Amino acid sequence: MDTQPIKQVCGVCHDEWLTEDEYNNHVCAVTGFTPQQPEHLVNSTTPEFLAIQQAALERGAVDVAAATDAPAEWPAPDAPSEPQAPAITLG
Amino acid sequence: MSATVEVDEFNGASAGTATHNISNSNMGSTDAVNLDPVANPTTPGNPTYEKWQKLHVTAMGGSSSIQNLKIWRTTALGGSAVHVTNARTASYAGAATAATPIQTTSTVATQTMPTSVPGTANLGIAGSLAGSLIATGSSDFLVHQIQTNAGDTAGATCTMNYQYDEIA
Repeated sequence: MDTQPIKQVCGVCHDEWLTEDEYNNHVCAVTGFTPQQPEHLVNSTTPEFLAIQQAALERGAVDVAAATDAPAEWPAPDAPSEPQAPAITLG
Repeated sequence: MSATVEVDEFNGASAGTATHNISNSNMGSTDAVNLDPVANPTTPGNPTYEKWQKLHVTAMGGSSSIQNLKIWRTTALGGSAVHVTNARTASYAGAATAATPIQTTSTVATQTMPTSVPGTANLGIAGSLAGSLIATGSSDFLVHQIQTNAGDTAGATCTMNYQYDEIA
């Protein structure tokens, strides 16, 4: 198990907290946003973050489509005669 | 709206100080976040201090899952230095246990860092490459280090790439 860090530091305003929740909920004095808001990244370390979000969503959509479109061997070649639904896990 | 993801770095004893939303991954001769490599150069022949980092989801933003973490470096290193990591697509050792970053040869980062996007995930979540985050939280530790040779006379500026997939 990981040891829970003792100190949580905002890399932007350098304020410190004891828990990750406190960090996540603080309004950064530099960006004016909490770390939960994309604007916090856009206004600090990652100006291109909105494009990064969109690209991540598109990759996820491709993953789901690939899983959904996968040819289902139904019944599988060695499967018993009783039909079984193909095992597809959607994210 | 979609998830908000940052890179965090862990320094100090037992990697016990987490600095969120780091601005660079500079490697050098001190265990510090966003270090100045000019002020903290690595003596040729020595390794840099390890970096202990995580991808941190601070908000899901309505998405259901973050998964398929891929880490790699682009652009060449200086001299004949080698960049090593615990990230790997096969024989993943599970989540590394927090430890104080060291400047001797890493026993955690033992495989060459990919220099192009891996075909499959190479950093786990909850100890598994197939893991996913369905709520705020972090990846396993990404541990990496540059190991230089005595003949290396110059460093290099490289790009670290941290990729994830997001399911709406």
